[in-house]
Amino acid sequence: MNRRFLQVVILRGAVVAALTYLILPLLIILPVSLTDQRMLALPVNGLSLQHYAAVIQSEEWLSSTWQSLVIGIASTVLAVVIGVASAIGCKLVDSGRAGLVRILNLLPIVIPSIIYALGAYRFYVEVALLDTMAGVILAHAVGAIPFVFIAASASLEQLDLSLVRAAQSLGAGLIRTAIFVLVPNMKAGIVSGAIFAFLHSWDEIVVTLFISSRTVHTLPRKMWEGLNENLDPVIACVAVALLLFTLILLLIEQKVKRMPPAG
Amino acid sequence: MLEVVNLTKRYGESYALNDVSLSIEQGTFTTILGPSGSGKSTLLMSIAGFVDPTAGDIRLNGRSLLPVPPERRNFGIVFQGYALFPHLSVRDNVAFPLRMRRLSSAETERRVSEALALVQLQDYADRFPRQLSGGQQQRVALARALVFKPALVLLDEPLSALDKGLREALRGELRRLHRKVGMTFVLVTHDQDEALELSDRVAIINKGRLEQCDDPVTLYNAPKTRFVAEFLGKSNFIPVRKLGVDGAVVRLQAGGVVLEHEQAGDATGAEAVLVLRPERIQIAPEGAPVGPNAVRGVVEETSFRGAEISVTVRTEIGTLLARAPSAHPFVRPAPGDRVVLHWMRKAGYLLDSADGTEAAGSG
Repeated sequence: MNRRFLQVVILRGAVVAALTYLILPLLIILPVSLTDQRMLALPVNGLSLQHYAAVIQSEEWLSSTWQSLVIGIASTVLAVVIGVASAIGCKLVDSGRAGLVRILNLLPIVIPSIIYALGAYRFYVEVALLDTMAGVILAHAVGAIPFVFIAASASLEQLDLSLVRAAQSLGAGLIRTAIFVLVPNMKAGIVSGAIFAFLHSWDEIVVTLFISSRTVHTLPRKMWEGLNENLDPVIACVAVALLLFTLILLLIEQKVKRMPPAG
Repeated sequence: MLEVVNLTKRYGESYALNDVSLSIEQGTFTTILGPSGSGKSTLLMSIAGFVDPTAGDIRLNGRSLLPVPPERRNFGIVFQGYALFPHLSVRDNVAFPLRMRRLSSAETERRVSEALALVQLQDYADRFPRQLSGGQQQRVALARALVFKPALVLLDEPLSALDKGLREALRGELRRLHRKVGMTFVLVTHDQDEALELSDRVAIINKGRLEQCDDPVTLYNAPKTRFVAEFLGKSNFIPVRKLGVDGAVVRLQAGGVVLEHEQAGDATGAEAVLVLRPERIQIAPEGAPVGPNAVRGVVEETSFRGAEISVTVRTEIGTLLARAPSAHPFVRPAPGDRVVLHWMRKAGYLLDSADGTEAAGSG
């Protein structure tokens, strides 16, 4: 009895310690964002919302947010279409080529982003995509494909493949089988993949730094510049907003995962 | 008419189907019967178009099906696990093949309710598959496979996932349905009772080869190979040598006993195997007056099986299994009893030794 009690205490203590270690550095931005100082520091004389007001009134920050949203959504749509189609193809086509497609889809998380950034930069110079929305959307979509591919493949894995044969026997070709039978049954995986794809774009900085300059300045890029230039506490406010937004998306993702496949 | 012509499917060195030929008449109920791994599912899936045969042809009304993709073959298939679409209601599951054929919504609705009525599931149209019992799901799968009036209905072990009572009830329903819709049904199963009860014709497959295709009565009474005899219920196999023919009667030497046998178009070789179903062997107390084929023996074991009693008897020509109705006047033979086993001249079926040993060797 006593021994068991001790075990529980130790286990709980370890869990709390691990969580604290993981979360504390994130939470530090909360007091910093409420600082009354004019630089990135903890509050001294009291809390203040002045920097939040500054963010909302700043056209630059608002336009960055808007850009990040547009890029995030567009790159997510692209990544979902390519990732889901690839996952379905890999599952249905039973040949060596499927393996090749699988590797291609996973490559973006294998290659260090700095290498990809360098490659994208050289390539974008050639095709005049440097510092364009389209260029950043494409680059983010590529980086997001593995997340969609993995999530979509996982939900396909749970699906009975005889559904595909059933659909075919009932008169649906491959494309209609994919649209009317597979995709509706992969909903959870697709939503989850889409959320991770969006989050990838939402906080992508390495590649973005290389391929954008004046026209395109996503939120992370703007924060990066702000940190480099003047340690403006506004950055902490934006960080809190980013954190909250991410948290909401992850909560949605968890919820969707638990939904039954139908209805 | 569906014809399977010299169909062969090879995976590397092993044959899933080896030179199988079969023809299936319009409107009949044909069963492909075989143990697991015999190639029966490969045959069905080749007909459905999901397996590309290595050689041979499959023809429907004289036209080869091989270049036709599964979605254009217009065959209704009931899969082993039913493969109902989990995201669609019963109604939408059944409507699926009609929507794929772009039927008008009025026509779709009419046909769906007709099909649901056929399987008595009108009241379940709005349910989802996961809200149905196994038997109900099976009937939805049937309705979905029938609703578009396919040229052929293929059923891949449709009853194997159900428990025994339900299986028997659905067997009756399947037969009723077949009579009612008049379509061509092809069933795959490993259950010999199911095959005998449902089918007009049964094709027995073993190790990728077609052993025999006949109506159930012929299969049971006149098996062409030892495998067929063994697979369709229990049989005694008595090795015999032909002594001579006396009109319609063949005299056979088995051990030290001479047996008499009558059969239309009997086996040709001198060495043969007499196949004798246990229920065709009568049991009598020792010394009772009996007919031509009588062998003496001692009861080794009996087992009571409700409607009948199985009796294993060690006789002068080997150990034989006999079965008697449990209401038989010669009540319960007990181990150690001395009995006489006897049977009529037409009770058995003579197999060429070659057929007998070939199948026996392959298990």
